[in-house]
Amino acid sequence: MKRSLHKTAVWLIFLAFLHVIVLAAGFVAPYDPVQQDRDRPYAPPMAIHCVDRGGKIHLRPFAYVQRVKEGFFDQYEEDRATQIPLKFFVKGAPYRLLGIIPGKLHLFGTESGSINLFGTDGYGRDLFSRILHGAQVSLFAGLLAASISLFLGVLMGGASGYFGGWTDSIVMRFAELCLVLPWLYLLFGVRAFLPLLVSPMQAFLIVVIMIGALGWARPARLVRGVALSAKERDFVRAARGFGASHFYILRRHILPQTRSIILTQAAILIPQYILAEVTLSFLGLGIPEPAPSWGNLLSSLQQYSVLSSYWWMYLPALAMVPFFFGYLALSSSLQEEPRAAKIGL
Amino acid sequence: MRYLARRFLHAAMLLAATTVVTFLFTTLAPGNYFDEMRLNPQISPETLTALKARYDLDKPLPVRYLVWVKSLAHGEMGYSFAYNSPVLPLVAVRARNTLLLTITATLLAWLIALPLGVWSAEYAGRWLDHVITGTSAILLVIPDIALALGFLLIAVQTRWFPAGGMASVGAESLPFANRLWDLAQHMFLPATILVLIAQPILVRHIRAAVADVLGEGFIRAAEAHGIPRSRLLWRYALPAAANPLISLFGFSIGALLSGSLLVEVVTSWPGLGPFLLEAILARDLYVVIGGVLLSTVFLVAGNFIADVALFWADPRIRTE
Amino acid sequence: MEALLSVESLVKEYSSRHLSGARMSVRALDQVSFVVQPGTRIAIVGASGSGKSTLAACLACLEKPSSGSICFQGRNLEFLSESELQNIRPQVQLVFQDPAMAFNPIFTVLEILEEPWILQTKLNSEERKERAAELLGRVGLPRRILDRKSADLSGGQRQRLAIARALALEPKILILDEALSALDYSVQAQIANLLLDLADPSIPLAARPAVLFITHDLVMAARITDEIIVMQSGRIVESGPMREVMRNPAHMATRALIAGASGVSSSHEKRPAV
Repeated sequence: MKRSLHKTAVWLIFLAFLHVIVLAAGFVAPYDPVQQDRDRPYAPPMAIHCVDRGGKIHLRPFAYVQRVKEGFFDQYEEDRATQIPLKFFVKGAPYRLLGIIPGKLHLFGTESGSINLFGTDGYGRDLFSRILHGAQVSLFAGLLAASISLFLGVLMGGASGYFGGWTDSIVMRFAELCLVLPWLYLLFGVRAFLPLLVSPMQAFLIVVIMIGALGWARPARLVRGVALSAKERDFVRAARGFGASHFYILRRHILPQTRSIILTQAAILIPQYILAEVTLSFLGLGIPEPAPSWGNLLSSLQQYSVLSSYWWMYLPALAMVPFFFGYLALSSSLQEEPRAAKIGL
Repeated sequence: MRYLARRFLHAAMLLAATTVVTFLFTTLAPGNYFDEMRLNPQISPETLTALKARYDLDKPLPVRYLVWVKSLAHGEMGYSFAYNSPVLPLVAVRARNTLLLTITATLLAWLIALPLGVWSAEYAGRWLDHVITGTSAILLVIPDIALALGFLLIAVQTRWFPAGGMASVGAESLPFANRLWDLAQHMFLPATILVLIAQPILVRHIRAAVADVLGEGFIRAAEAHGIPRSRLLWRYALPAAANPLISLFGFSIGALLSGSLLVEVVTSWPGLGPFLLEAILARDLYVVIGGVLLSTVFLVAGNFIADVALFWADPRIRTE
Repeated sequence: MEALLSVESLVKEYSSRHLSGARMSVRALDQVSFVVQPGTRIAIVGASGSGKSTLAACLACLEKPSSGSICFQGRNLEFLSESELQNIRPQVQLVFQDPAMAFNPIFTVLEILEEPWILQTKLNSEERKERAAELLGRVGLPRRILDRKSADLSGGQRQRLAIARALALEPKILILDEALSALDYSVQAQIANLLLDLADPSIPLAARPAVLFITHDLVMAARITDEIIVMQSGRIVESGPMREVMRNPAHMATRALIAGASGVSSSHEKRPAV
């Protein structure tokens, strides 16, 4: 049992680490995500070397400048003559951490030339920076939507299970309807039909809220089960005997019992909703350009030319994997050891 | 029998409610198909009004809904503004394409997942189980879009199989067998993606269900009677694990029309998904409603079929 | 002296709808009438299904009767509003049979005991802690268990805790619904002694609750109470002073209960504490 507690803690720390990196995207990323470099569209990822052509070992890692190959317009090769040393903690483009704290320091960068670990896109924007900043959008969407779903789920499920009767019937029927609706299409519909007066950012927010709102049904069912069994317990009847109001009982006796469900559901819902945002953005219905999100970073892959020549544009898809891995591992360890979830670890 | 009738009624009501909600969603949004045309100076306002009247867009919502329901009873689904033709034939063709893909993929997925799940449960804790569960975990962790795009990338870079579409140019003129082979080649990519997406979930559930059953007393008893292991697994354990698996299969049926949207878009498969997407963006009202209705029919039917199958397979439900 | 509790023609029906559509109703309580004087100890006995628990729930205002009246200190409960009922409920406290389910597993003993005071009084946390320790002393539990969870206690300790909680608001009536049935024999004896102490006639009336002891164990009932009410199929079939009814049972049900009880050992010596 102890081992499972440790496992849960491990995954939590892993996820927290990943999220901190994303939060600090402005610092970790070397470049501004919207800064274009029209001279270097679709440049491939740069390799970092420590040993140069002459066999000499450099303490400071470096990359070679990319220059366009003779006779081609979109293929690059390394210029072994010119080196770009990699420096740490450089001053670069200004950014705002969490939107508030201004800063200019970046984790790594160069003084001259640019270093693109993951290459650049069609406008010469650094893909590595875009992936980091895009993560902020996708993760935020996932977390926001999951919070909404859970909040609504606890509210409706708790009321439904505790009060029973008509409330229960109506809420459960409504839940069934919500589970059956093809919500992806409905979301497209809402997004497409939003009046043009609404700014694309607002449209994006509305869609994320809707994703969360539509997903209340599954957690609600689970919470309802907890509320149903909890309300029959003698300690609830005893509290009633002391003159406790319904609100008190819900808050003090029933809600705490739902904690484990909320945690496990959160670990399941967050990756689902991240995927939903990515899908929407991929199809062009998410956050607008030039702001990056994992989804719209991938949308260029819908063109054949990109698929065949610029394979590094696929990298954002792989960026999602560590996050999904963390959330999935967390949810299985939570399910293995329900006590870990119960004590809110 | 009563029970089945109740479930059927329930399903029908759900369907009706879905049509109402979809109608509300698409018509409540401001603007409609013809508003785009307003910007075109060559079309006079009178033509627009006439067009709107012709398609009943100037009538109030409940009237439009009732008219649509009436036409449904006649076997029609309304009219598409963009294609200028009845909705049903348009949607039917696309739905057929999707079903071709998803039925193949679902059958394959189950055919592969069943033995994997059963073996995984049978050899629980040993290396085969670890391999199967491990692969499932890896697949589960890679999001659908990454899988789809990844395979597309492979297809394009290696040219081993066609990377899009449903048929090669000029395929209609080929003899039947060649056409079939062409179709299969084109189906390879999207079907593989769909199978891989479904695998981890199916295998996990099948493994869990069979593992539960294997722990029960009657298996030990049969073992003691000398029944060979393979027969034990397939003829004794698997049927006993049928209950949760039938529900799972119901989900698979339910998702036949709605679960493949992303894959269809990525691989340019001319199915219902991309068609509906386009219609939504163009605000082609009746196409959207028709398509959504069809998808929901499958979803609800899937649940209902699962109910029926459970009823038939599990005597406990009959005595409720 | 005004009757504490006066029950008249109480009826409680449960109806359910069968799958075929027919309605079936069961009368859990059928024309029950009796009176409880302050400070008295009454046993309510009967076989399983005789309606005892339903009666307890109705008296504690946890269920609403289908017809008939319950008057607490002269006030008819049916005509009271919900908020007025909230004031009456603390005065009629119920102790349940299953000590395992009676407490919220997350709560500590302190939280369990102070809940009634949080809900009904304005005491601060220091005062509540002191009172909780006092209550524990009254039921024979040590002060140090205040920080423990209820799951850490034994069955007998938990039932004492349940009684302590029931006494927290100084109720006028204490109802014990098969409260001893789930306990070991020796533990039952101890709790029975506790109840005798709590309801001892030497305690002034103001501080002494009336005790309604619901059970199917006639021997235990005879030990603790002075009056007896016998129920069968939701009806009261016999009632009166304990000794008389025991000596001359008039109804068949009473006789059956006595016959069943005589198979049990009649010696309940005090055993060492568990």
